[in-house]
Order: sequence, then structure tokens, then C-alpha cells
Amino acid sequence: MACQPPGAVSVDPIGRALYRASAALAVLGGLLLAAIMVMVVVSIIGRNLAGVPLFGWLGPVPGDFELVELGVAIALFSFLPYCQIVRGNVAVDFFVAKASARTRAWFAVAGNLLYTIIAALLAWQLFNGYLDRLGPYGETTWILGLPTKWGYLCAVVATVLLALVCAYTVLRSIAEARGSGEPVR
Amino acid sequence: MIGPELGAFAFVALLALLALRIPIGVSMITVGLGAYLVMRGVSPTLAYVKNTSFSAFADYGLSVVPLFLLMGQFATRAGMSKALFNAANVFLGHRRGGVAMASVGACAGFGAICGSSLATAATMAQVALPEMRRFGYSGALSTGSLAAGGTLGILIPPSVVLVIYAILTEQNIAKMFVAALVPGFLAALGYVLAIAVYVRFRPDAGPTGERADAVARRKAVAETWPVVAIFLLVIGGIYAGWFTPTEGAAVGAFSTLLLAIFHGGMRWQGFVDSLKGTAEASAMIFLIILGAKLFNGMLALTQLPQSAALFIGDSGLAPMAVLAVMLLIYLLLGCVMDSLSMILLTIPIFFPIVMALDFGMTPEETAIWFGILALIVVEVGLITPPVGMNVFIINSLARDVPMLDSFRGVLPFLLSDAVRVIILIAFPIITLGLVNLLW
Repeated sequence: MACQPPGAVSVDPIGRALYRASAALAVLGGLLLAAIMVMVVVSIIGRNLAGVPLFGWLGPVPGDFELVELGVAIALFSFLPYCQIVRGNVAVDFFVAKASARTRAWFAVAGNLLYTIIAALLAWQLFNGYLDRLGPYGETTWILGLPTKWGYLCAVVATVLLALVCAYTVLRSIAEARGSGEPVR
Repeated sequence: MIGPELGAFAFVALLALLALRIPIGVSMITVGLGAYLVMRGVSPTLAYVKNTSFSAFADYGLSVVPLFLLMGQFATRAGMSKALFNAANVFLGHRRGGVAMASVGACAGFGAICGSSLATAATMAQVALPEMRRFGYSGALSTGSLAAGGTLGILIPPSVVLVIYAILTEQNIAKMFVAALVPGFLAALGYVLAIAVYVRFRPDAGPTGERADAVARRKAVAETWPVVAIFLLVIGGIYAGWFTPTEGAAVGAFSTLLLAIFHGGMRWQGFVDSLKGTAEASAMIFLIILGAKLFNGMLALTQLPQSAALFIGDSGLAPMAVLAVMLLIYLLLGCVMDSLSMILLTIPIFFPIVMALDFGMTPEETAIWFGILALIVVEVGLITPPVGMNVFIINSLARDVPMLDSFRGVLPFLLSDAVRVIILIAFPIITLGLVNLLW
């Protein structure tokens, strides 16, 4: 499952750089997810020990629900570029299965082009969402009062990288369509 | 063109994009936003993107998904597959076809800490394939039983697809998990019976393995204690209300992390690989979830789901006939699509229809029962040609077995699935009994 598909790591410098950036962002997001996991476990332990003598000073982590929500959202956005560059997004293969590897690559060009447009749209609108949350009266979380603009900003960074990765995969698919076709995953 | 017609047209457009091998999430977003644009115009569509994209990911209920995926990643590195296989093998190995039966049993055990079919099939294959080869099992039986056994990963809780169904239909995740237990057990039993019948006709396909004595049996069972403990902690804790499903997933991920480090010998590199595996699987799923959210939001505006429910509810069609047609559609879609996309795509249409029909149960009972049936039928898609992901992955691990043999090998298990679905439809009490007993 976690093995590298052939052709995931590109030979060209731009592809390599984008792969490294996407993998680094994905691992950072993964570390954030792992940190949330630990925070939740600590929160559960604290919550259950709160009623025990000597441990009365303990309690759940304040605002644990909103930390999960915000943290997981940031982690999920940071996963998107990596999935795209390693060709991890699923499609229905059945109807073009008989086509040649080069024809299949042309279909991939179309898919990647659509995803590029969507990624750019997401980055743009998430940035607008960020702008909406600026200022002293910007939206904050319920208990900890964390400004949600930070979540949006992280999402903007991730989707900008996603748009770049998508644009790169369009070029990669065009090259494959002209060359020997799409590598078998 | 507005209203249900646009909704129906959007569906056709979506199917066309899917057929052209546009990634499923991308297709749903494209059509969802395109139809929204037609209905509402430019700036509302941009606002729709702005308001939906972040909230689709910042959802406490859905955060259970990446955590269960992380748990599954750690589980594949926990080194428990050998222990689980042994525990099943000491009881079944000496029978004809017993090593294949043990593989199915071990898959069921692994499914208790892993919510993904592919990961279950792939992990157990690494242990079970060499064993079946050692005893001279046919390629068809060994790959078939593992591919089918893998589907237990998603049926036996924790299950990612079941979680998504519960969130989509606003059902209690704990109840869904409990409802899946007996059908999951029946599935494993049905697969073991399928092997028993199969080797009666093809005795050389599955020779007998080794017989174990009582001491070896006790020892082998005792070694699986971490899996049992984690399963009971996570599912029991969610049921008892000690923690929310999301917290349960975090507890499960944390305990399988400890197991992977101290039993599986996982080190930094393995940890980073787990994070990358989680990243890829989560991103794949959440792109589809985002697509489903945008697509289904658009669909709700067209009133197509409500009209369809009303139309079929008033049509006087027998509820069972409607149910049969839906399950048949799942079976067909399952031939070409993955289970999660199918659930996300169809439930917004099918669920209101099912709830508008009278099956002689309370609405909640109907919702749970239909969810389990849908889950089983979409899972069948994983082992049916032409696109059976489980069969593909097992076959890629057993290079010398022709793909056709592997698909032949799953036939007995498909029959077993068919029988089980009919039994579960005829007797909803099998699915609902435990839920009604515990709540």
C-alpha cells in the first residue's frame, strides 16, 4: 500500500522538487495528525482521572474538540499535493482499460487539467475565506478563541502547492502521452 | 433547465466523466460546481466553494476517518498477522482446506483492528500465501480465499465505509458497528463453509495441514491478546460512551502505534511511511468527500432526491423489489467502482427512497439494516471481475497464479455472499438483534 508506484518520483528537477515539497508537507501533516492523536489520548486520560483522589487537578485538554477539528482540517489539506503527485487519486479504469497506454495518458491530461483548475479555485476561495477572517473581529474557535484564519492560511499554502503539482502533472501526462504512455501503477 | 431534470442531467454528465477516467473526486467537483453555476450564477458558486471547502475538512465527525486510516497503517506494521494466522490455523489447519479457512479467520481477526479491505488482504497475504503454498494449495483457492477474506476488513468494525455511511445518514456510529458484528461473523463462517464445500469437490486444491495439540492451541490464542484488547477497548469504549468515535479512533491508533513499535519493531522510517500511507489514503478519500459534498449540495437544490423518493414511495412498488433493484445497482457499479465512492454517490439518492418505503421497521432500524446490506453488497464489488481490487492486489503478490485462476477462486465466496445477503434481507433480526439487545 505504502510502496512507491513506479514513475512516482520524477527524473526532471521540477518534478523532483515538487515531489520533495509534497512529501515533506504530507509528513508534516501526518505529524500534526499524530500529535492530535496523542492530545486526544491525554485528554481522555485527564478526563477520567479528574475524579480520582490526588489527580483532581487533572482534566480534559481544554478545547480538545476544536483542536481536533482545526488540526485534522490542516492535516487533510496538506495531504492533497502528495496524493496527486504519486497518482493516488482513484478513477474508474474500466471503460478505457482496453485503450493504449498513450491514449490513457491523454485522458489523464484531461483529468489533471480539471484538477488544476479546481485546485486554483480552491486556493483562491480559501484565500478569500482567510481575508474574511482578518481583523480584530475575525472568527475564532469557541473555547480557546483560536483565530480560524490560521487554518485557512495553512489550507491556502497547501492548495497553492496542490495547484502547482496539478499543473506539473498535466505536463507530465502530456509528456507521457507523447512518449511511451502512462506507467502502470 | 432547473429542478430534478438538471439533477438527472448532472448524474449523466458525472457518469460520462467517470467513464473517461477522470478521477472520481475531480468529476464530482466539476459536475457539482458546473450545475450549481447553471442554477445560481457566478458569485454564488464562488461563495459555495469558499463556504464548503474548509468546512468539508474541518468536521469533527469526519476526523474519525484519517485516524482510523492511521490505525490501519500502524496495524499493518504491528507484526500481528503471523500470530493471528497461527491462532486460526491451530484450530482449522488439520482439516481439508483448513489452511485457507485459517487465512479467512485471520483476515477476520485483522479486520478487528483495520478498517480497510485492501490493507487486510495485503497484510494477511504476506503470511498466509507462503503457508498455503507450503501445503500445496491451488493458486485459485489460496488467492481467492485471501481476496474474499480481505472484504471482512471493512465489514468487521472498525470500518471506514461504515463510518462514512453513518455520518451521511446521521446514524449512531456505535450502533452501526454493533450491527455489523453478527453479519461480519456470519461472513467469516460462510467463507469457511464455502471452502469446506469447495474442497469436497476439489480435494487436491486444499490438502490438510498440521494438527496442533491443546497446549499449542492455548499458546497461539494467547499470543493474539493485543488485537483482542485493542478491539475491545476501541469498540467497547465507543459503545460504553467512554469516548466519541473520533476519540476511539485516536485511542486505537495510539495503541496500535505502541504495538507496532514494541511488537512489530517499527522504527522512524516505518513511522514516516505510515504517515505517508495515511496521507495518500486520506487525501484520496477526502477529495471524494469534498466532491460528494459539492455534488450532493447541488443535487439537493435540484430536488432530485426528494422527487425520486416521493415518486417511488407513491408508485406502489413493493419495497422489497425496490431494495433488490438498489442492491443490484450496487453490484453493477461495484464491478467498476470502489466502495467508498459508490456509497458517497448513491446514498443521497437511495437513502431517502429507502426511508420512504415501509419495511415494517422503525426508521432507525431500517437505516441500520439498509446500511449493513449496502456495505456487504458494495464489498462484493472488490472481488468481482472486471475490476476487483482485492483480487488484483493478492494476485500481484502471487505472481505465478494467472488472474483468471484468482477470479475463478473467488466464485465459491461470491456464492456464499449471495446466500448471506438473502438471509440478512429475509431476517433483519440478525442485523438488528444485537443492537436492540444492547440499547
